[in-house]
Amino acid sequence: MHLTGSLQRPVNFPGSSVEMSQGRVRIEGTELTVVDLPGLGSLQPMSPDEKVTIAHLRGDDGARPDVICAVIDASKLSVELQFVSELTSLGLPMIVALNKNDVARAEGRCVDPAALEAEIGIRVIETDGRSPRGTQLLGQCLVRDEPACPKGLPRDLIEEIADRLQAQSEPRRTLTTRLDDVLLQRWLGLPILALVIFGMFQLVYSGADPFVGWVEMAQGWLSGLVEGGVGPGALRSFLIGGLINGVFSVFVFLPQIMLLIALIAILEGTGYMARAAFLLDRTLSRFGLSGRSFVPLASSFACAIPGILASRIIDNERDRIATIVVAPLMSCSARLPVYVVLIGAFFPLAWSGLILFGLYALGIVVAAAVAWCLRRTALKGGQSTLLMELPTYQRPSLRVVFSQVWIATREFLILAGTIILATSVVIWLLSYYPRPEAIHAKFEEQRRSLAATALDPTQRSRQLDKIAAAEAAAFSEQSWLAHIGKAIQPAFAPAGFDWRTTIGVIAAFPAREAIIPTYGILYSLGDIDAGAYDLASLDKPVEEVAGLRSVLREARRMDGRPALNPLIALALMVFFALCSQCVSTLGAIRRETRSWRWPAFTFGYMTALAWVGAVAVYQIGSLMGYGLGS
Amino acid sequence: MTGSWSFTWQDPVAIALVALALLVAWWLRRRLGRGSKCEECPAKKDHV
Repeated sequence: MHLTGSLQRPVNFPGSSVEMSQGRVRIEGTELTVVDLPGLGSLQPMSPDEKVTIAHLRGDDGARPDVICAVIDASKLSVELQFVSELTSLGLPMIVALNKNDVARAEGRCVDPAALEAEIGIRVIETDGRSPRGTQLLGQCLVRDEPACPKGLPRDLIEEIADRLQAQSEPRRTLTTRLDDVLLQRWLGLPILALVIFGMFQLVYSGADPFVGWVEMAQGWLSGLVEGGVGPGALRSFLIGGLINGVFSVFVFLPQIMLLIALIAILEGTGYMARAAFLLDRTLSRFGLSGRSFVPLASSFACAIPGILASRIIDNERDRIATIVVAPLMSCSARLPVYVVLIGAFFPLAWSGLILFGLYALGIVVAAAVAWCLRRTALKGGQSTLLMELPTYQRPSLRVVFSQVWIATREFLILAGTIILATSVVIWLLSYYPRPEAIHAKFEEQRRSLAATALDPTQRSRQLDKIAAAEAAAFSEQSWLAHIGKAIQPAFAPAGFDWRTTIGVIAAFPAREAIIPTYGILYSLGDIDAGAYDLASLDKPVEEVAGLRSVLREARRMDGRPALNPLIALALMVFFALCSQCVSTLGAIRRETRSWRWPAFTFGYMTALAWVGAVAVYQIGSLMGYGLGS
Repeated sequence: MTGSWSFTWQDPVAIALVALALLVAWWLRRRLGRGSKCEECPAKKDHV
């Protein structure tokens, strides 16, 4: 990143780089192609990401490098030199980038680059992964000095070299050692981890709120502008209900997603994520997973796609596939707006946090159960052991955190945003048409009758609004979308869903977030702003919150019963917590497992579980007296 | 559906904008997303 300026994903976690990436840089008139490869411990690959590196180093992918730049950790000199010794057997010119010498210095074992160079016969440049220090010299060395093939580094001399080079002093108790004494303590470690993760989620909910408010203000302002400039009709309805609704339903989630990614990046950058994997290894092993599964699963709380890609760090293929198949059960950031809207509309403030936590916990518990079953049936076989190095604690680089947030934001805007926009405009089209003249004539007659009555302006305006809402509802009930929804609705009737809720669920299959603008269109009954919800308004009475939440609460079926109630809302959230509703995730599973079998299995079992879960919640709740009509 | 439809000048404009929005979404995804040249970059090939 410091050499080419490109935004890759450097993090303080072993195995974080899981695929090749490359960038170009021009140094003193020479263009260099720099290929960043997943880290290696030896030339014997143990996991898919390591195979990527070895294949490229050997030229198996048709593009053998001209020079190897081996980035080594000065605080683990003897271990790293063992690997450098293996690399010399490849017969490629080499440079060594001596990294983390500051960490070694803090431990009283700093390394003199010039002395190291003299000992191993390979050019050594001191660098710092958190800053551009050393990269200019590294680039110049690559261009000017034409690195030579090293003669070889006898493995039996490495310990002696390391002892000679590193300052002889008593090992110091570093900050890392002192922190690990507490954070990895047998009884404190897991509770501290639980607190950290809970705190992270709390911060996402409260920290993103002001920004969500600004996005919603912008949406409201823009909608007002259109209302003032365009008269009632299809164009105004499309611009507000289809386009603005669609575009802003993408932007309104951005603050939460960016904050979640930033917090995960900060945790990774400090080195704590690696400790989390260590702490959870025993627990995860009971369910047939590996401690290394923690990083892919934790990443899936932001988005399942990078989580699935991160599974390449798992060397055991059965563990890896089990992790991939259950990763979508982690409640990703796309589900968060759905939870916020429904919890805010139907549940008291005091229950909000508990329900939210329960939904996240549901995904985790079900994932553990599915992994346990898989590892005893379709993926039966040996289990891997966790072998990893714990990085030193360090202050995360803000530049690295910003780059990770930017990468994730860009991916979200392009991948999810385009689907949401397309889904929104299609849903609008299907929900707006047809427009039978007979319905329009009927309500025009009502407006003419009203005009002939003697009412004060306020009462007249209120009555006109009611007529407009009734007209919109009448058009909506006979729309193409209603026909589709009513045809599918019997499949979801046992869960208490009406046709509009069913349509919302179907529309969410390409991308979960699409349910919000869909409900905004279907339940808006006119020009009600569908985007006026926010995280902090979970603590306000529903009546104070204009917008989708109050509309959902007041929405009625044709027979007068509520369209949604707390029980149906809970069933809907359980459905969302368990269902596979992301085409991009299924695509990532196909890519990582190199078959259609596993994405098809994932879609099938998750949809079935979601349906069973939603039906169970509604039927059991109905027996307890919380169903419709009670 | 019964009888004729209630149409104004806004309807064909709205429908045309729907088509345009779909084209823009498709183009953006193709140009900037996984359907773009990034797929052809050797660094992004499926690993061995």
